[in-house]
Amino acid sequence: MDADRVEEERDEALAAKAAGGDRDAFEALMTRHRASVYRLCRSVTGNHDDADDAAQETFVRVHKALGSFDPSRPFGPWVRKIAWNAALTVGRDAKAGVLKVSDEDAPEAVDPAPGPEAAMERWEEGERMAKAVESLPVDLRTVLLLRALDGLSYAEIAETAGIPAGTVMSRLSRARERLMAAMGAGKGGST
Amino acid sequence: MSDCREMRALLSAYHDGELPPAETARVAEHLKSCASCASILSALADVDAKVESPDPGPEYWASFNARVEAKLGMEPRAEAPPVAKVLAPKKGWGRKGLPYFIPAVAAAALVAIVVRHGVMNPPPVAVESQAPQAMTEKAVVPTYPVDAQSAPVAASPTESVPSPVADKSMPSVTDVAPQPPPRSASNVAEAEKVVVQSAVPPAPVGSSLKASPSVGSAKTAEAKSPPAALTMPAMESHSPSSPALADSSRDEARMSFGASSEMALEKKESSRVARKEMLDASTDGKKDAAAGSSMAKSKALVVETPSRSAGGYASALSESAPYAYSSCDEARRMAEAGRLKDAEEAQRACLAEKQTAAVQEKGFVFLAELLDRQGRFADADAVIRDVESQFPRSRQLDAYRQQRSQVQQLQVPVRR
Repeated sequence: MDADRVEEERDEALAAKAAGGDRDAFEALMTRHRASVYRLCRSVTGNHDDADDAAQETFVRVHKALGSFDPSRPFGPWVRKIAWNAALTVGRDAKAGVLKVSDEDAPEAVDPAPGPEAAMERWEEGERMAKAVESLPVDLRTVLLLRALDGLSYAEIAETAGIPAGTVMSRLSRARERLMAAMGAGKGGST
Repeated sequence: MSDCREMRALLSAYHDGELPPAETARVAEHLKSCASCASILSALADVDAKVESPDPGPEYWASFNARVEAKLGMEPRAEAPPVAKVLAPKKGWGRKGLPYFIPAVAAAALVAIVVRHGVMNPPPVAVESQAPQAMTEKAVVPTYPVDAQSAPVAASPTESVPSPVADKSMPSVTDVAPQPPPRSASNVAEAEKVVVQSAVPPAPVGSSLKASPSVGSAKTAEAKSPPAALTMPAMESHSPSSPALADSSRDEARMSFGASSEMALEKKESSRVARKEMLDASTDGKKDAAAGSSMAKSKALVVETPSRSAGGYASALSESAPYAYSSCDEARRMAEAGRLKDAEEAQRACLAEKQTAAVQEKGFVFLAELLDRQGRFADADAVIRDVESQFPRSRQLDAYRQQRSQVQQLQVPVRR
């Protein structure tokens, strides 16, 4: 494998090569996008197992659809759209708006190990935030994670989720307000 | 005030820079006179910074591509999983390093075999002269001059595993590599042949090896033991001052030195089984998802551990030679041997060396883990604070945090 070649090539060029049967190119694309695809799937499905299925299914669909990909268009949004659809298909419960929290995400059944107070506070804060994010409705959680972790613009989020940009704005606003409430922030309220 | 209510609905988009210019100006004007909305705006940034999404961890990513390709009906790549497994933690999400490691591993195998065959080894006939049972049971392929000098036929298998403690003259690859090996055509051809054969997953020949009193030539035995070539240099990285380590990892040492092709094959098979279990747990065992997958992950961690040696060597070639031959590798092995204090010291020494940022990030998180495992949580917290300040939003740290409490209660094996 020509590592430099694969490393430096743009997604779209790799996609064209992968469509031609270049396995290295396909693997490079997977390696580049799998984390964000997984996050998106996880935000839609709300649990690891469905996210895992959906993330794998995404790249299976990507591979099968590479022949129809237009290399003059950006690859990222195309993959995200496929991931979104795969997650909706796989995440049956998520589709119904029911959150499923797998055991691995549940709070520890035993008391956390003792540690300095500050560390405990940080740990608890992280746990609170994770739970707050997980407990958001799917539509709010997805736009939030696409924005906060993937840094997508409102237009990109809108394209991925198939909703108007104005809806992205309102959902993000509501998601953040809920998180601030959960974290005890933003208690100032309106004057 | 109604004005505040309206503004609050816009603050999120204002924070993202997604408002039209006119509304941006309105919000900015309002913020000048409203401390409450200004504090909410500040809180918005804080919330975003704390948002996280669970990361399934490097073990998951290491096998991800292969699982997708399996679904597509593609043939598995030879040796791909171990490379990916090593790669993933290096780059956090394994985005960029994979293309560099495959040629690095091939180069590692070539260098190691050329060194073994061209510089240090007696001709293969020396091995063929060994008693057949030595080959079938715990055969030791002589890899260093010390073996040749000490008559490998007479030595017991475990004793003849070369100990770095015993002979400081034992050359490391860094010592030997600059010396041009005698490039006889046969040596090079043989080395290349071994490399080529190593790249192909060996057939399960364990039982036939055991049953047959005549095992065949040394070349055949070595060709069926690809891990030997890959892991040999990593074993050299053991500290010369750690005799106990040689005891605690004797089985691994046998494997690493290609002591038995049969054992190597069994080990590879068990690795495959562990990976399959992990796959099964994540695909079929939905109902027992958490328990199943975490158990499979634990198995994979334990079983896969020796393969890290190969990765450590490969990564050393591609990044910096001092890393693999320094305390870093020793720290890992000490930790896996349960010698946490020694591991901590080695890891501190490792971090004191000149390392890449990625190695530093991973190394500090590992140091925190070692401290946690010793019950020194305050010290671990201090290290974690350092990581936080030096590597904001560290994925390595995030991954560790997700299982830190389990680590502190020693409920999970040593990560790496």
